[in-house]
This record gives sequence, structure tokens and C-alpha cells, in this order.
Amino acid sequence: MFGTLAQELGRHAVAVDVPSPVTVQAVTHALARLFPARATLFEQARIAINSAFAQPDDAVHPGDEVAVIELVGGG
Amino acid sequence: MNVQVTLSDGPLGVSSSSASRTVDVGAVLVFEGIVRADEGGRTLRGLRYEAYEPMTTTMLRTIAEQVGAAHEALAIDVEHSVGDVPVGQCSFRLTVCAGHRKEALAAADDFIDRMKRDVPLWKVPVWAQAMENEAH
Repeated sequence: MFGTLAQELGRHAVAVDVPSPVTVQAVTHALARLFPARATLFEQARIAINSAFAQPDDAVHPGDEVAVIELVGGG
Repeated sequence: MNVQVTLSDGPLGVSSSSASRTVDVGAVLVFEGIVRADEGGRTLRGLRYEAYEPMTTTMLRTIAEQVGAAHEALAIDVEHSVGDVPVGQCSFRLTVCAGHRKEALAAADDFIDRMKRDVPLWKVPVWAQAMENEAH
């Protein structure tokens, strides 16, 4: 996690338990449950796996890096 | 088309763009983004930019290549800050070389729109008031 979201939650990384088979959508649901106050943000966030945008049904494999790209706006 | 992407720690200094000014170039557009003091009515001390490498550089390059091809630009150089940039300093510089003004303007506009939508670059406000409180 990055930016103001990471600042607000006080962390850049978090561990969540997700039942198999693990998908992007399952990860965002788990994050939404872990941080209910920010559930909408996680449910709507774009997710990157290993530095590439992923779709909700894409699989997440052991060792993958999952990034929450919730809001960008550089420049 | 030549594309160059550079992420630098802190404010951007004098342009490091080496965009090729060949005999085909008739327009060179340089856009600079400067950190403003006001954000929603509150006073900023600066912005802290976070990137997600290597995705940030990859996305900047991909968008520059796509936008450049779509608008027939001849070269695009992208420079962006990471880390702390004080108010009044430059955090983003886009240099577009094209045959004509309209292509350069269109490419710059398109690039910035897509960058803000798709590139993982975050800006975290550093409030002036917070800094004052931390000092006490």
C-alpha cells in the first residue's frame, strides 16, 4: 500500500488469510474485512500483481507481490 | 520515437532532457508541475511522492510510447520526483518534441491525463501546521 492510504493505516504491507484458490478479488475482500472503515476503497481499488495491473479473477500465487493501486495522481 | 523516463529524489533541477531536436522537430513543449502551497484550503510545506518501482517507470514509458505514436510525437522525456519536494519546487517535467505545435500540445495533454489515471505515483501532503507542531 502506498500514499495516503498507507499513511492512514500506518503500514505499507499487511498479511491477510485468504482461502484457496486465491484470486485478486479474494484478496481485496479480505482487505475490506480487515479494514472495514476503508472497505469501499479496497473493493474498488485496482490491484497489481508483480508490477502489472491484474483483473479480479486473476490468480495470486505464492511469492507474488500484490500492490493496492487505490489512487494515483502524480505530477 | 525516442522516450526517456527519469525518476529523481527530491525537486527537479535544471532539465536533464536530451530530447533529440532533429531537423524534423518544429515544436518543443516543456511542461513543469510545481508544488502549490494550498491544498483544499490548508497550507502545505510540500509533497512527498511515492513510486512503486519498477511499475512506475514501466508505466510512464509505456504511456509515453503510446501517446507519442498516437500524436506523432518525435520524442518524449519524462522527469518525475520521488521523495520530498517543497512548495514552489518542480516535481514533474514533460518535454515533448513534435513536428508541429498541435501534435506536441495534444501529446502532452493526453500523457498527463493518462499518467494521473494509470501510473502508480502517489503524493502525500506534508502540512505546514503539522511540521510546526512536530517542532514543539
